[in-house]
Amino acid sequence: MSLKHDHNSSRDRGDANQYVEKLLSSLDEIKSAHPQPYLHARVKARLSQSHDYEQEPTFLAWFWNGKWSLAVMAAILVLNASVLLYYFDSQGLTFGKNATAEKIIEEYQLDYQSTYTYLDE
Amino acid sequence: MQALLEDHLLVEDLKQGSEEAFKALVELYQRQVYNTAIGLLRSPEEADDISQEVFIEVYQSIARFKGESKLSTWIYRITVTKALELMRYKKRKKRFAPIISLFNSDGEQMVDPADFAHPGVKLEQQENASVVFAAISKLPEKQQAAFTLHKLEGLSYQEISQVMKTSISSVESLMHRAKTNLKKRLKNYYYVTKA
Repeated sequence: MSLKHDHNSSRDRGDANQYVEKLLSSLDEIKSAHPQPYLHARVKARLSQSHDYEQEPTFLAWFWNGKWSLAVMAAILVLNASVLLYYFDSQGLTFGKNATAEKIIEEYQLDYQSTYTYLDE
Repeated sequence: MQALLEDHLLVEDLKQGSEEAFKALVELYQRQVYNTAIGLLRSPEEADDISQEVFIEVYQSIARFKGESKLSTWIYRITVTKALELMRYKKRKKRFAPIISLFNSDGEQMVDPADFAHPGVKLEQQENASVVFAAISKLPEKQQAAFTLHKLEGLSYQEISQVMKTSISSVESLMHRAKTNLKKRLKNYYYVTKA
């Protein structure tokens, strides 16, 4: 309740404004801060590390970071899919609704023919 | 004019891969980079780390610097971008900290520099300044960047607009909102501490 009262009091509003200005003025005379010494040497050390890495990349790093890895992986996937399709095809397995329907008709025709053959005998 | 000419020569030498030129560049701009970074990140260790990254970026990208802006403006831009990237990363990490801690009990401690003492602030002003820095850290990142560049680095609105690649009127608007938000937060702090 007292908080609400403080907000509404013009005297307190004035005090609050003064306080805010006082806080903000703490940044007025700010001096520049010094970085840790030997910044150039540390930057150079990090640069030489990254150069070494660039000069002698491991095969895995090269593979995983490069665009070639994507191309090789895509080629492997396509090859795998082709081998699987060829295998299913050679085994007489087919996919899809139409393929199933064709297979049922084929089986029905075989049954029909065998029945007739039996009757003939 | 002299400074521009010096910058031009420095850039040309850097493009030739001169070690001396790179050392001179670091010596010349290290305070600017470090101060901007510490103002935004409020951590001396992170500011030092970002300073190193800024100069690595400058070294690696100098060939792409066309001289359309001043060298100092370009370096300010890299510094602000790197500092904001780290701030976003820390925010994300903070958001997911409870989940990460479930899987990683030895994880690094999340440091919230609420009581940051800027090394350039007078000792008797440290307490007040840390309250202001805490309030600045709650501002949206663009307002933080504009306010820090203006108040701590003393850049004009025109220079800030070049660093942030925006119009002067946008910088004016950012600064106005930053000041209004800061005053509102600091007033609330006054009422809460008084109550």
